[in-house]
Amino acid sequence: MKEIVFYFQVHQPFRLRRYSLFDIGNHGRYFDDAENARILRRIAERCYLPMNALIGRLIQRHEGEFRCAYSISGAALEQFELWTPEVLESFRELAATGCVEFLCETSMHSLSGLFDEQEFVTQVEEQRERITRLFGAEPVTFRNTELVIDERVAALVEELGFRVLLGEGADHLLGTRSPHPVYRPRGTRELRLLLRDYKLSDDIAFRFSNRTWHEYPLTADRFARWAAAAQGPGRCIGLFMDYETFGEHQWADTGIFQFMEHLPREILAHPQLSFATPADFAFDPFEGGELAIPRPTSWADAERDLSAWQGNAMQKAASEAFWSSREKVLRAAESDPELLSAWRRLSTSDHFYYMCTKYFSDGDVHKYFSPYPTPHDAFLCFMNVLDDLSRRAEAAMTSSVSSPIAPSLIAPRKAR
Amino acid sequence: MKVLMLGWEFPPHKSGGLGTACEGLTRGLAEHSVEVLMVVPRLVGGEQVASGRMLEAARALSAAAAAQSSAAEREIAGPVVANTEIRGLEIVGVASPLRPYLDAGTELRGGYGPDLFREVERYAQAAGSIAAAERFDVIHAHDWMTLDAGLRARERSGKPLVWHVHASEHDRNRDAPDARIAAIEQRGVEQADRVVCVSHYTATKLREHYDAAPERLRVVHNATQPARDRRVRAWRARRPFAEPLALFMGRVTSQKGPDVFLDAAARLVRAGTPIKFALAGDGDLWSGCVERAAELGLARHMYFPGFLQGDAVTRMHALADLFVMPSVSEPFGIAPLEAMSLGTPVLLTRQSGVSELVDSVIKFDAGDSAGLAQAMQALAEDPFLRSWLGARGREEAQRLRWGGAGAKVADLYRELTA
Repeated sequence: MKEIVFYFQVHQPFRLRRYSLFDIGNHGRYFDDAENARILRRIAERCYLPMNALIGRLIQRHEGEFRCAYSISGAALEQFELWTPEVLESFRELAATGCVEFLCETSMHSLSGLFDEQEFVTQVEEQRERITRLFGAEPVTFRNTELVIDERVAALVEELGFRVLLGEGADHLLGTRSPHPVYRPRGTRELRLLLRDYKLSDDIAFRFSNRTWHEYPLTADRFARWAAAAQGPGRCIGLFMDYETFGEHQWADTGIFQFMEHLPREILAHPQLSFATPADFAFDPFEGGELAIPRPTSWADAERDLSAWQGNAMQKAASEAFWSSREKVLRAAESDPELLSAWRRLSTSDHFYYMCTKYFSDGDVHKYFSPYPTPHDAFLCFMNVLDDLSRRAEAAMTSSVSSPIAPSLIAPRKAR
Repeated sequence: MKVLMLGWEFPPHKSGGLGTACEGLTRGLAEHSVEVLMVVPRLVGGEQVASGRMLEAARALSAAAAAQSSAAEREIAGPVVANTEIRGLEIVGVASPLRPYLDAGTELRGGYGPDLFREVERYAQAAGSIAAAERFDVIHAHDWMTLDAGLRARERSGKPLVWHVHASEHDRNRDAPDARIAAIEQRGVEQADRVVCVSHYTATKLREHYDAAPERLRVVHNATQPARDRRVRAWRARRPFAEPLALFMGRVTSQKGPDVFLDAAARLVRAGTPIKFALAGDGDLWSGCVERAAELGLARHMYFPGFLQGDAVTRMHALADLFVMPSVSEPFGIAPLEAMSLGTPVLLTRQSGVSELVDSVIKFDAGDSAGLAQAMQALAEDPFLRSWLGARGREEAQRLRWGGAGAKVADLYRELTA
């Protein structure tokens, strides 16, 4: 028996406007509302609305046999509320079917888990509260931004009360082992780690419309045969991918919606296959045993490491500058809470992803997602915004020196 | 006296000091009763001399040029624009799809794009037709791009040719000068009736590289215009920085020494000096400089506002408390004069033409980032020193008006046409 576990990532960053040196000190309008609204509406029309409608039909048609999971970043949820409330409504309708699980993540899709434990906890709690409020069930499963996990993150996630964690089934973690069994990250006691089957996931997410791929065109029955052919231990086939795969990364005319329309029927035609969501594994035995995760692993690029966000000097400098500004912003937020919400939006990993200079195999992917002409422009724009925000924070601090500051905020525990 | 002036760029659409110098010279000549017919590759719009209006007044000229041109040349006769404020200045546009300055595009670097040379040839054809249609007393060509146009105009008109060298190929590409451009410059030195150099520094280079005859060389230093104080004051009042800001503004190429600026900046930041930096401009070293700044720990201390033009240049100057020109080799260097006339203290290398002209600046040797860092630190830490040096520099720059340069050039015209 194998379970097909679909998890779709839904995320949209608050993109920055081109904030120049001449803007510093003059205004704090950092985010490009018009562009963000335009992109949200476009993707709602191409992906979120038609795909949610399709998922709803599949759930109905298969009478609960088809199930799937979503993680929707807080940044995306806020933008749905701002620009496309109908998208949020359609997710709530999916939640009401009882066949859809909503996962937890960091509210601003940040890499706080690597840089600042306290900020990580804050963003996770904020997101957990929001998901519970919007979708009516407290999340059991956690997935970290870009599937970044290491043993410390895993331990934190368990400490925060989650029972299931998602990760990348990276070769450097597994060696010759299968991604399908439930693993226990080293250093945790009861945390189930489900891994992404990157081969089958990327067949849909990346290769589906690639005409030079020898399996092109991929049909639902063939994909179901591949899944049914999976051998070995473990029962979780993790198909983890961006939701925007459907209709945005792969346009409707590639046939991606028809593929998805037929896939559940073809999967269920195999008696050894069914659908599940991550929470269904919350009490599973640890069939794969313990898994060591000595260094951070992600689902990005060929390296499956942090190089997409931390690979060059600009990214490192921007991260260092950003994370070291937290304390100042927290203190300033007592008199100007807007500063903290802007700062949190800057924590979104996309801003650092845009600064990536890897121009070989994965450069195209970075370029595709970036609103900037070059990674250097992304870096400079981010630094200008951070400069202005820091100046505002300093100004707010000096205007409220007498206000008491909670001791825990003065000295946040630094993760590294 | 009327001069047919052949230029390659004109404000506000310019990429370097050449356009600024051409505009300034036309103002200076106007003060000395010289009428200027200014030919530029094309008019992009917004070419304004001083604050005046642009008028398409001399359409008759372009019509005449078109009528005399062959069918192939007809397309290049562009609109003719005369300025109403500066008496005697007309600007003739020549249709040309290329951006005007050698370093503005990637066409020449690496690719050795044939386009620039084709453009230069088209421009020369246009100059020939204009020369046939127009009446003037002398021809004045700027830099290698317009030399052949000048020679063509002389051939058609029989009038003397002044060739004005703002930068030689040996300044622009010291390590790998383009042989074709060097050959054109050699021709200019040999064939022009007089060669005007923007500095003794440049005159020396022409003698070294092209064996130029000293008696045909004239040095006419560039100058500057009075600053528009009101706007600068308004911009200064809104500056957000408590720390002083040191500005580099120029093309980001090895000739301009941006690496020295970065290195000196890193020394100051390591020393904990409260100061910010701005590296304004674009060029082949730009992305490398951004990365280098991040590596050197300058991410929070250095801004990269990119290529600026028009008002943004003045606005950038208004934000600056120090102006640094670390050029490795600079035939003149007009930007420091602009900074000085705004009262901004200036640090510049001795390997520049402007350095022979001004005293109220801090001079250092090209490549000496330690020396630059030391001087910047002294200025960064001492506001009184900054305002003293700024005021002295401003006084000095105010004496360097284009009228003076115009007088020298007008005298040269009279000498040639006597």
